[in-house]
Amino acid sequence: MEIPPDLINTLVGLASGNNDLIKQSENVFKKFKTESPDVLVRSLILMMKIADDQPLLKEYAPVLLRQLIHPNAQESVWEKLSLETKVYLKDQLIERLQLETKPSILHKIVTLVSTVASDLIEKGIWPDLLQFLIAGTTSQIEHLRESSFSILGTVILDLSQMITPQTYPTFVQVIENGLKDPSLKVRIAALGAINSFIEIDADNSVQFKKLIPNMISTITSALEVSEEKSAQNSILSFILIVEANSNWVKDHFPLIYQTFFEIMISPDFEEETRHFCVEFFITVAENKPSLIKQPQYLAPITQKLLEWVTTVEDVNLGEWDKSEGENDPEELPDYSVALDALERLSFYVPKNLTDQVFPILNSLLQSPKWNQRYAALIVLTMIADGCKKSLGPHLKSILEKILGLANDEHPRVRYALFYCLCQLSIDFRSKIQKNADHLIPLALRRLGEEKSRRVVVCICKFLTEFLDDIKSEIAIKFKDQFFGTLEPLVTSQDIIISQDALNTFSSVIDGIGAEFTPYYDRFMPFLFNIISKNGKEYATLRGRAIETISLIGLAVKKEKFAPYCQQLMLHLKDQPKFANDDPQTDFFLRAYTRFCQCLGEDFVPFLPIVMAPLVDALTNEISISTEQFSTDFVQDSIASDSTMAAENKALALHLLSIYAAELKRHLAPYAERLFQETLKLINYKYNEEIKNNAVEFLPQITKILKSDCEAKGDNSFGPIKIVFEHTIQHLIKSLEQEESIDSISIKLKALCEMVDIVTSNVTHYLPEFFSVINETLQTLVESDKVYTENLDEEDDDQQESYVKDSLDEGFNNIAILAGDICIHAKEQAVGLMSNIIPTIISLIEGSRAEIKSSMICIFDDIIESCGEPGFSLFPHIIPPIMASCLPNPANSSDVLQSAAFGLGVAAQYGKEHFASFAFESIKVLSALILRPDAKSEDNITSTENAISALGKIISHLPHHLNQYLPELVSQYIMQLPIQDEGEYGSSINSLFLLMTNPESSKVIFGSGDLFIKSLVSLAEAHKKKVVTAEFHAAIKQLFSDKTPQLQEVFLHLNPNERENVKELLN
Amino acid sequence: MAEIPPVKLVLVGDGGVGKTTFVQRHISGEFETRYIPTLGVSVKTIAFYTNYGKFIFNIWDTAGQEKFGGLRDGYYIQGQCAIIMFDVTSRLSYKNCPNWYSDLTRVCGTEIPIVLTGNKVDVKDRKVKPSQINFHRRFNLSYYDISAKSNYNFEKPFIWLASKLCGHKDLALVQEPTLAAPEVALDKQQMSQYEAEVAAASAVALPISDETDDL
Repeated sequence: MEIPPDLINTLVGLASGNNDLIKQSENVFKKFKTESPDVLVRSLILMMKIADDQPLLKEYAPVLLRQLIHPNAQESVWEKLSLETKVYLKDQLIERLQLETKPSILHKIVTLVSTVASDLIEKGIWPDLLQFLIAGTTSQIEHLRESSFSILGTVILDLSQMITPQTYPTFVQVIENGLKDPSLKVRIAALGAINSFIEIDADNSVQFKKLIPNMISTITSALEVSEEKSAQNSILSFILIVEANSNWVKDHFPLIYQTFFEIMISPDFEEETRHFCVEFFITVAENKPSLIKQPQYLAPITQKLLEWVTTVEDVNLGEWDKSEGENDPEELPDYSVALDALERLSFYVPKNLTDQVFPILNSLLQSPKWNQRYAALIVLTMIADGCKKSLGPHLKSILEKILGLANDEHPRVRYALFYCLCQLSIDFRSKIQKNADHLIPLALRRLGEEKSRRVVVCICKFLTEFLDDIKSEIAIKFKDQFFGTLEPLVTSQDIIISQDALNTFSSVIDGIGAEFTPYYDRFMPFLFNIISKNGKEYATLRGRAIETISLIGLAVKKEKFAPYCQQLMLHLKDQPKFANDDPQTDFFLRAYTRFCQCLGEDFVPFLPIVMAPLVDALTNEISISTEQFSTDFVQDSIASDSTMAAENKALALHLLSIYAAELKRHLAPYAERLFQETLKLINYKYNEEIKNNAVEFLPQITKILKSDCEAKGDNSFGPIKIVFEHTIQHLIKSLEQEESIDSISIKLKALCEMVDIVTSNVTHYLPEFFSVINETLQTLVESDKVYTENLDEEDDDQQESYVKDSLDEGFNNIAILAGDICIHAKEQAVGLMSNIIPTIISLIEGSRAEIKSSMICIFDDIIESCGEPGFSLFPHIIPPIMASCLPNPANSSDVLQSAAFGLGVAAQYGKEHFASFAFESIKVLSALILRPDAKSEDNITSTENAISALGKIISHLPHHLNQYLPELVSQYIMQLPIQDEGEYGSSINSLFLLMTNPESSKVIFGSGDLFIKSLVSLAEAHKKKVVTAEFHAAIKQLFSDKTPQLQEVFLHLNPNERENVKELLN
Repeated sequence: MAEIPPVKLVLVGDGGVGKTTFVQRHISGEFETRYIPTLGVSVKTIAFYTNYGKFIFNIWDTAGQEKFGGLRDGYYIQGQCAIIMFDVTSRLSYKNCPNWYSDLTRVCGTEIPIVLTGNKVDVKDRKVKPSQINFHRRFNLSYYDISAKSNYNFEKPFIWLASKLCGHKDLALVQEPTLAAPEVALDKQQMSQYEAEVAAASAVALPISDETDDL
């Protein structure tokens, strides 16, 4: 084939520098692309082969070719090319790779191979490329070794299926050779390849571990020749390694730390490179905290980060004061990265971070430079949540150190102070509120004097936060000062100040409750006046006003508020609909809900007014935008202009649940519509809150319908049975597909509610229920496995983890669901339940305490509710319960309690079925009761459950205890009374049973001490009113023929006991 | 003096940093206050008269925005020198310079002289401070603060490129370029402070490499 002369002219034209000629040539080039892509591509390949005397063509060909053959590029003709052209291209590229000597062209050919290789290998057109590349890595020619590693690094990402455990050693060897190559270029290319291996499969790339020192030295060399991109990718690989298997880096940590820390602090490197190192350290803190906790590592990192935070720059204070924060001058990237890093470290290594940060903060706070004082306050704000535990004991001294800054000369420092206090109020709620006598007057005084509006707004925000959940006596104490200081601000012409002051004002009302009544007439007209304002600029202010009015309603109660509320609702009835992005929607929807809570059923006439905007919020369209992150990674998410619509949708669902609880059957006319809309959202994938709120609301709708049926006297629930069925089936299906642990928990809870609603009808759905329980249990077990595998075993101070809490909650909810099903389906539950019993047993035997106790609770429910079929499971389920009663570190107080309880009910309900376990059980229970610290605060509940269980065993199976009965009866009675509310009644029942049983009663009535103890215990129970009339009669009957004994016993009682006994027997 | 053949200069940088405005400051053009994105490429020829003769630069002003790309890096082919431009009021435009650099060198190699320029130093709200501009030092590029609006340092990048290309360190202009009248007056004190900062930043030692990249 010959190159068309037209094409040669075109390239000459493109290079001409003449704008018109370039445009013309571009058009011709485009024509080639559309009309004869094969000719174009083949011609460009030929041009690459042309001898060096045609530099123009040779230079142009590979660059233009790359755009054309890139499978994913916008300009690509790849898909239009014939197979022959593709094969031709491949053959020519291999040839050029071996023959080309000019470095600049060779680099371009490497790029071309990488561009098309993956697609060609995948289509089976280039099966031998990998072999060619592996051979190339050991070539004599330096550039071929480099090219082979470069291409390997690119293509391996797309060929993960070719990497198997069997092929790994080969690759490791190949790369090890590369990292030890005498040429730095080859070493850097090999480093790139290792990055790709780790990226595709970090879990299995442990075999590269031995190469860490070589990798580190290559990173350093790469940086020395300014190959920062290569270095960045490798630091990223280390991040992936730590995420996948943190133990990898342990042995070489000093080397890695030293190298990365030097990069982090060097001003010569790009921000990204330095920030990647910070990210690496944080990833270590998250996954292997025991490593980074060591002061020799953490101290320098912390110091550097704090230094970065102090780089906050001077700005025009006039403009700063005018802005509301959104348009603040953007800070230096180091500043933002450092703050973010400190915040994250505060969650992973709180105690150690506190130790490092604290002394530095102390000196920064006293610095003559404003930006250092500012930095100290901002850092404290950022780490407060994470370091809650370690900062807590020092809260008072922290406050002493920072409160002086309320009068700082620099407004940004004053601002930072109240910003910090705001955060401390969130994190230390009741603890910081103890300082109210100091903090409230300070803030109010400052509020009166402050000239900077931005600081004023921040003080208001602090007070609002500080007053949340405040004890009413504190709020009441300062109420006059509050209203005195806030009134001029609330009525200010500055809308921002007015709305923030109004927010604080609401919090005061919330805090003082009915004490607001005397101020009612002073403020209501003013608030109503705001509601009557129009205009976009007043939107938030109106919102705050309706919020305040609704809180006033709750504070002054229905009688005072109802007339006003009715008038207001009529006024609002005609207000135009809010736009989708109007901030008022949120305020009004919440306020209406509070009106409803205040008025109760009297609110029903206004339901049409509030249901319209609620249904609007529920049904509003949310637009989804697609973001392309790379050629093959696309993510859909809620478009930014729909954020508020999404928030309102979630809010509407939440508020509807409140209306349902408050007004019940009165919502029935809306139920069908709400049901249809809510059902659509239980799998909503773009916003977890919408999904979860929908799941929570769904059972509420069935409750509304159920109570409506009941009110109409229809207890057959005929017409709504289908709704029950739909709800259960949709929830089960949705749970099956759910991946988020939090949502799994919420869906389990919703199913529990449904079980409680349909009660014994649950038997219709048993197979579906047990199938989903089984599946969900497996999902939780798998997720828990991943969680536990990633724990840092060497960390002796493990932090609370959100993941763990979510998982524990998931296991707990699954236990409640299984238990609820046992309670309602009774015997019928057992058959299907047996399928999951092996999993439950293995969880009891091998999991942490939280999961263990949840699982034991399922067994407790089986024992209590499932009758004979349940008892037949005793040989399987009692031994693990008994093992869980042993007082060892694996069995927490909750585990011991639920296990002891289980043994008790097993004896109580199972009776003879339990007989063979009685002695063994008594042994473990006695060990619990008699442990040295049995009565400590932590242990008392489990001990008392054990006592109660012991009582149940001996009272229900006395004839199995032979000669041991007297001793056991005595042991039991001498432990009475117990304080545990749940088990108190049972313990008395057992006592009474023992007193009526012929054998054990002989023991009790034959011993003065036991007689007294029993009598006093029964009398106390009677006093506590836990004894029914029938039971009381039986007790009296029991003592009717014991008058002489009673008279003697009476002498040994104290006046209080005498009084109780008299009341019992009269 | 011998006639020097025209030099292909590639001008790159993010969209909106002021590439076209900069080129058009030369009297044959005028300052664009309205931003019109360049489509593909626009070539403009500018001549400078130096003590080593007349230097003609064919400036290939390329599209900064992807969607107006045309041949994209196809325009860089056979570039003999380049200017990477960013906007000192936009951190992102500075952050992207390494990408522009690697795009350029992928096609032109690392041997060609390249100047890094920070435009819009006349704007008060400068985000990228001289002390933060260090990217160029690792690749032996030169750096200049410029202001297209006020003509500040307009000729500097060209003089540096010309001296690199002909290998004479003492190359200087013998005739001032004819530029459009400045649109804004500069704060002289501010500029000398910037100059001092740029000088101070370049005095910081760089890691010395003992291996050179010959590709």
